[in-house]
Amino acid sequence: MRPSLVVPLAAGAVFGALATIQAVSDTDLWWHLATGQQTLAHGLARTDAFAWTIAGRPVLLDQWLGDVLIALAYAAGSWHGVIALRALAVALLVTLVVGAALAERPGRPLVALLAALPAIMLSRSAYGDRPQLEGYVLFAALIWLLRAGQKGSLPALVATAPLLALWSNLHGSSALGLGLILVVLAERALRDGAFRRTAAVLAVVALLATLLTPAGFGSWASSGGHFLAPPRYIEEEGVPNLRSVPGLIFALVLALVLGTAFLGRGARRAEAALLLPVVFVSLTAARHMPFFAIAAAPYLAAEGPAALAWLARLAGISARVPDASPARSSWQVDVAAAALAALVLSVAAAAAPGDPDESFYPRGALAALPRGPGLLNAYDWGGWLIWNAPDTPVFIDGRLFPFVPDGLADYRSIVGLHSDWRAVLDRRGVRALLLRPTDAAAVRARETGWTVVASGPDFVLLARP
Amino acid sequence: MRTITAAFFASLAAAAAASAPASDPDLFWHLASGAWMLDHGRLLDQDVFSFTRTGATYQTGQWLGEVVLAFVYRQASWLGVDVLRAVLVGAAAFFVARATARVQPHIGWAAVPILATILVSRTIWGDRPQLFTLALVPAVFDLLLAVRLERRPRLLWILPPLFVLWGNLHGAFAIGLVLVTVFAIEAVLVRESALRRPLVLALAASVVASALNPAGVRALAAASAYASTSGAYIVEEGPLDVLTGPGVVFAAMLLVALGIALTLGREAIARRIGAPVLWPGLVIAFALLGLAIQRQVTFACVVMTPFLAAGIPAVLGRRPLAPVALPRAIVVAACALFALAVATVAAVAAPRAPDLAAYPADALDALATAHGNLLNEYDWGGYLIFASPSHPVFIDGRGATLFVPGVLDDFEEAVRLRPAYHDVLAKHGIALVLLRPDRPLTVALREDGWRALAERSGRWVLLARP
Repeated sequence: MRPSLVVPLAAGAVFGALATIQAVSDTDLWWHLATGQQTLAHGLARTDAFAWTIAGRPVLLDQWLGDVLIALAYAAGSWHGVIALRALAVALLVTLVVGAALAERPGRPLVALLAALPAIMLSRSAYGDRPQLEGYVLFAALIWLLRAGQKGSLPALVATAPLLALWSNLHGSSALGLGLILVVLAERALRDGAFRRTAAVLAVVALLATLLTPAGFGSWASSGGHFLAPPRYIEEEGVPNLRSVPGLIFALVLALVLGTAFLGRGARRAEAALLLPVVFVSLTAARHMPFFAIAAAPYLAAEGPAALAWLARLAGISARVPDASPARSSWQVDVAAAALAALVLSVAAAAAPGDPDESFYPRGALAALPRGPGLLNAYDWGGWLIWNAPDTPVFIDGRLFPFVPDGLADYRSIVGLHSDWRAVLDRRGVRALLLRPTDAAAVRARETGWTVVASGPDFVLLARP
Repeated sequence: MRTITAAFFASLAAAAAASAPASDPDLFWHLASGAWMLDHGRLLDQDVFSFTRTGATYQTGQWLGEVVLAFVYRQASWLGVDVLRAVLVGAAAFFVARATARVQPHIGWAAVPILATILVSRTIWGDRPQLFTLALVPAVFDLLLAVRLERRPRLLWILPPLFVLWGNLHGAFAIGLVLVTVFAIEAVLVRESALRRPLVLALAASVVASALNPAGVRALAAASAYASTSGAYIVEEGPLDVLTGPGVVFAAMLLVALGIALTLGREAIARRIGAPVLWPGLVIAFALLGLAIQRQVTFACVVMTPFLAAGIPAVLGRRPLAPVALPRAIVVAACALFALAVATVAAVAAPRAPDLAAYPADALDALATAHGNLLNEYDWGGYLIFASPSHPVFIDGRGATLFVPGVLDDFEEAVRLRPAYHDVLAKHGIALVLLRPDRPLTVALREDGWRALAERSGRWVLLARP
């Protein structure tokens, strides 16, 4: 008997509604939005049209569908539409995480909610308006399907292929999904000889599914780059810091999983196949931490109470393991709950902030920006400038990989005031700087006679003399 | 056989450690501090090396370690420092291997995790008082395992005097207290009546003993404060990157430990390794510590080593091997042979001079004839204290204990060329800078006409105010 979806849907609606409180502000949203609009208007662009440093060069196509979704949401409801898309994604993510946990302990929604809570809290950092959020949603769905597949459901394993094809067009994190599918299939094939032929077919199908994108093999390369060599100079790609709030939550999940595994009943090779690859990936970069919490939620719901009860009894505390008997479920009730959740999300999105929060960006510089190539902008402002100042192509922006290695190296030489900074300025033909006043290049340019064209507490626009 | 196994791995590690030259950036100010204490016959508790914090009171919590280092250096120069390092690294490997042999007598199964741990420990083979902690953590771990698995509570009497020593040698004695705490909690939880009271008493006595140092109980508070700092400005105190060499090894060990636990479960762990509640306590506490502060990752590997050595064959369905007892004469002979081998390696291969490639050694002549306050690179401060005592430094590796926040903030403001850099230079009367050439400040000062008194392309440059 399947578990009731009322609690997962209710949790999804609550957290989805809460996600609408935050105004649009993500530094990468803007170039995703511009790219999506470009695709809707002119079809898929395979070369760059936003940055003067890489004009005409090939760009990554690994999240074109995610960009289009954001652009469609914007076209449908302006910033309210973007927030509605975010609310829907968060609601789906929470519903899937709680649902997967509840599937392990049906009839015990509190246990499922507690097991899912770290994943919900950790994924909070990914509530920006980017395709990455949809990547988490599809990862949560994959975990549910793979767990069902490990228990013998062939349709669940077959369903991973279309999910992977969709994911590969939405966001580059699909490589993690592919890897996980292959590991889970291999584990089941090892313990079940009769499954080996099916596993081989499913593995080939999964591999092919990831190639059904305009990027082709390129979708593997970009994902591999992110997972195995994260660019550490970008904050979210930094090493997970256990002395931060998200790091503490991650540490809690890791401790709970380790404790449950050591004090559990053992014989959980299938869990190992699911958890070990994900814990490694999650340890590689701060933005990957939610993956482990999402994957761990069903395991903690399934095994955590028994391990905790055993430990409590050891300490002389009377403890009973909550049973796992399924609660009664009904399609009618679930559909009604889904409709109610949709209503809650719609109301929340309508009441959400109607304007983006641009306090982080140099709005005061827009009117004074030079037209055409020649502006060197702060990395974090590139996407915002693409959207807000289309007549002034950027030097660099959050798409990062098209700028590696030359563009990024030159950017760092100038902004970090390396010994060749003047030579790079000349070689690139930079005629204006839009930086933070505390950047070394901004300080030095001011001292050496560059003209301050516009300035504010957090930005300065300088023109070359 | 257990002792021979331990001596074998100890000799391997010691030989490797003896062959490396001294080069740690903090070694030099530790040596200078120890030498000052030997010369003056009292503790160094006021800054005498920098011009930015002259006279400020501070304690590094490792006075005895510094005195030992300086004494060894005075007696045997750099070779003495190399040998001290080899002895302490060898001791660490010895106790890791002996602890492992308590649960896995088969040297083949034990070898991989032991070697992995030795490999990871290379990150803290720098010649500093932390080498004493490197040796003492495995020593205490081995002792506690003997107490727990072989029910030998009498061994616990060693802990209080050990913690008196440790509390004066190096500030990270708190890691040892964490170890004792985990064992005591486990004994209380599983109601191990023969061990519960002795372990709790040993913990209390160890806490008291560790306070018998010049800082008293404040040394414990300092350890807690250290654990809660962000590690934002000192790389080795920052979070662990699992995509680096030591990080990959640690991550592999952690994943294998989790895999073993998922596969075996508590009952099989109890049968094959023993103390099923102890291992999660150790692995969780030390893995999180290692992930949070990368310099502590070695200790996470230390506590995981026996578990992996015994757990991997259990997962693969191999039968446990009974320990082999050898005559004492054979054990002594084998250990003597290993010691001789290490001594030979030390005599032949140990460098007689430090590796100064990372330091501006060639700038010293020019610096000796230059006058004025010097703004130096953070990592070079200790070396300058040791090699150019006539020029007090701006900042050095005593960072958190002496220079945070004021001087470090000024340093960052200046070298990163932030808007108030001129004010910092004026405030401290800077007339000389000795920095890396790619620092924004170096570039700006060169453009402003500061003279290069000496430089090595791509490494360092010494500039003087025009």
